[in-house]
Amino acid sequence: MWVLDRPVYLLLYLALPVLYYLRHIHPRRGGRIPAPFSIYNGGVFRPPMTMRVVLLRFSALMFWAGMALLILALTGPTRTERERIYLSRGIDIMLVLDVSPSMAAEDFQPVNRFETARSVIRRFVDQRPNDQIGLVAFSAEAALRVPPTLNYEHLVESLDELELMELGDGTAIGMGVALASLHLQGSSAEERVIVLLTDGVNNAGEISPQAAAEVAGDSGVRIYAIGVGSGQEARIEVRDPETGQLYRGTVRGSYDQRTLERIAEISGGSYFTAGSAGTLESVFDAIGTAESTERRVQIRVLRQPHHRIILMWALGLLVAEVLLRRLLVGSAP
Amino acid sequence: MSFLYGQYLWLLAGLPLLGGLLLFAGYRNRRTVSRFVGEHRRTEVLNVLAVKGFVTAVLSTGAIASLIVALSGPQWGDISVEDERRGLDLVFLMDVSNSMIAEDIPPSRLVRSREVARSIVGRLDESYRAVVAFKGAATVVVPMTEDPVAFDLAMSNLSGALITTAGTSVRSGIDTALSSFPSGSPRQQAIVMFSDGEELQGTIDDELERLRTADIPVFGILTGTTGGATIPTRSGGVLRDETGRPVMVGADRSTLEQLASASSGHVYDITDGTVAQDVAADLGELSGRGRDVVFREVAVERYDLFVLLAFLLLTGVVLVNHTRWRRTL
Repeated sequence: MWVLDRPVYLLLYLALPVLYYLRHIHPRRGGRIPAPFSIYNGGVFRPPMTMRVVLLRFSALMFWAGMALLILALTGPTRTERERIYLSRGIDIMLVLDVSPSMAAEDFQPVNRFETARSVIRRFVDQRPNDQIGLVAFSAEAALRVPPTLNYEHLVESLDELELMELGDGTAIGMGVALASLHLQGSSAEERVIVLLTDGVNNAGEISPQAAAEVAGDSGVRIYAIGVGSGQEARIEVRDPETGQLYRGTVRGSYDQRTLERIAEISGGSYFTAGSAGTLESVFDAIGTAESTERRVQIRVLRQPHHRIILMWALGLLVAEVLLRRLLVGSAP
Repeated sequence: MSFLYGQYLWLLAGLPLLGGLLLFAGYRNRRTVSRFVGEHRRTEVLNVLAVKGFVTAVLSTGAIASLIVALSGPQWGDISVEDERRGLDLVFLMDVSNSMIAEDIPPSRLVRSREVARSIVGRLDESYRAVVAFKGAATVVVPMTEDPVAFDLAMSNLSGALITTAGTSVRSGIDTALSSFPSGSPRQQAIVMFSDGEELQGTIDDELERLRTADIPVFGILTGTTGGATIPTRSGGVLRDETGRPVMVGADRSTLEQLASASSGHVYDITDGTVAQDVAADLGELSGRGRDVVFREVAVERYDLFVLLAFLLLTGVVLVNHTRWRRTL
């Protein structure tokens, strides 16, 4: 929204027609030299439209535009925006996402499990304006992609940059949970949760999922474990980002339900199963509802003054007018 | 009185030229009018023309001067504003250009910057931090987070290799730093900038305006010595220019001063042994923690007075020029 800091200066616009009259219309205005001749049969004498006359009129236009802009700058045009300030601290959420090759299984529409997970996470993030959200990716190894943050733009960018197989071929669930738990240790949030999303069986890493869940549970971090996959044979197609080699095949088998249930149980969280894209969305909705917090909001008004650009134009026009009228046209004062 | 955009005051140097041109125009007009009126009341006409020309030149030049001063953002006097924000969102804006590997600040400018940044964070309770690295371009190394491990990791990995674009674009750095502050934060926001100020590129007027309007101070830490040093290369030698002479990089505090001055921040010298304590103390003061009511002094910009003066002077030009003084002109 646009506002004027000093609207009273708008009254100066009333002076402009008076000044215009004095300069251009008033019959006894200065700067005129009455010439002792007239048209014999009474017609009005008009000077020919030479380049000099055009420039003179153009310079007058620049002068009045400059004056009008000066008044506009004086009024202090300012753009204001309302910003919601969250006075209450939200919760901290670490998303732990499986990027093993099996996540390319095409049993989730429209593309595969991984793309569905990404899309559901984006939607989930959009609905949590006051919660700090981080991202850990894992397959044979685990890596922090984003620490818990409110900078969702950065989070979504990092999510979009994730590639299947970028951390090797394997499923180190324990490493992923442990890493997420580590990055929640310094948090001052009252509620801290990990949302683990995997379609595999832990087969890599030095930390077992149960041990990682115990550490998380001891430090007050709840884990929501989501097992992804339809349980049926599905086609996969995945390209190794390191070598560029394309792998095609079918994937059978499923996630380790018992381990995931155990992880959730140890940490005081919940276990969910998502057999399709629609179910995965519902699971995230359920987590969102379970982890809702009270929000205290204040509105802050951000102000951005715009008088400087107007002043620059006014200055440019007025200097150009003086130079054009006095030097180029040669008008007397 | 201080000026937000003091560089515009250089335009005042052009005023004598403008005044001279107006006088020249007056002289030229005098000859033309003299030929036009002939002998008829020549002296009277030329006298009026001379006075009008002089007064108009003075008023016009005065108006232009006044506008230039207005454009420079004059400010004086303070007003007290209650600040309800508590806590800190800090962006550590780290210069990772080649000049930062100079070793005049041992072990190197960049390594020392990392140590000081860690030391500052260690002295602040419950602050949120982001790390932005800049060179010819800028990148967010760690977004705003409370996570101390992520901050420490980012500082350890900070190097010139993070960004491939050569140069030192402070503009990109400030833009990226500003976009790293999450919206909706109830905390005070500040940028802690480490740079040697060497060959910073581009104008930063827009960034100064954004810092000022967003009320985000820049605490600049000058990382280098005025005497400068050579830039070591991987082969063990030093970087040389086209003529084979070693490239010397010094430290220039002017850009840091400009940023700090426009944003109510401060500039420190990394060679000062207490720099981390000093910065942490100032940031602690800014955070307002432990106090019920915090008032901040905000400088008042007075550009409108100078614009009003310019308007009145230009009105004077119209009245002087276009009011008939006598029966002549």
